[in-house]
Amino acid sequence: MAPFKQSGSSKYREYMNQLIHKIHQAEEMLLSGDDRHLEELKEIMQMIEQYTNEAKGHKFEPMQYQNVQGNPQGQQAFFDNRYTDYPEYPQMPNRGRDIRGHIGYVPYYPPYYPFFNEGGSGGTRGESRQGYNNEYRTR
Amino acid sequence: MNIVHDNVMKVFFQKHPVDLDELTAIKMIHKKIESAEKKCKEGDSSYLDDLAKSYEMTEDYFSELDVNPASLL
Repeated sequence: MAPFKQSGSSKYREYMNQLIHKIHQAEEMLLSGDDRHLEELKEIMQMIEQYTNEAKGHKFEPMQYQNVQGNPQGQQAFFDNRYTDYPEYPQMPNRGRDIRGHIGYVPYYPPYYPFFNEGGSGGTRGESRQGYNNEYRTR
Repeated sequence: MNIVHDNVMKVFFQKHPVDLDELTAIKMIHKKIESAEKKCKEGDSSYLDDLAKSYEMTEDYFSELDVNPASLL
């Protein structure tokens, strides 16, 4: 249930107005060469934390720590690099598809497979997989 | 009087860093907060996501300037 649909909805709108006012002030200070715009920005961060805490009823956390694959513990807890060597893509969209939606990519192909780059084995192993792996490693 | 801000900073507004001057960076934070305000008025609960994003943008701004916000009075 969104908090603004409850009785205190006008409170949150008021909060947002205060934020807008604050960021407007920061802009004007920067334009006039006043270094205190940093203090305004700091206050904005504090206000966002406070409002979000109130709205959600729990401690504020920036988005990067939330809802990674539905894991409330966040990205670090979700991503286990024992089974993949693609640390830059911890959030695999769908098993069987790579980050651009190409079918056939196997996210958790074991990197310790002894003849991984040998080729000659045909099928989905060996050289036929190498293009994918090189592509990801060079990023 | 218009002061020219040519202090270019790299700010992570999406997945990739963008070169911006300070004023443009703050304007983009402003835009995000305005978007949150609009959503809040419309009763869209995703306004909290916009707020979180603007928070991250402000964090990036500080880290680019190499200023710890906690050190400010």
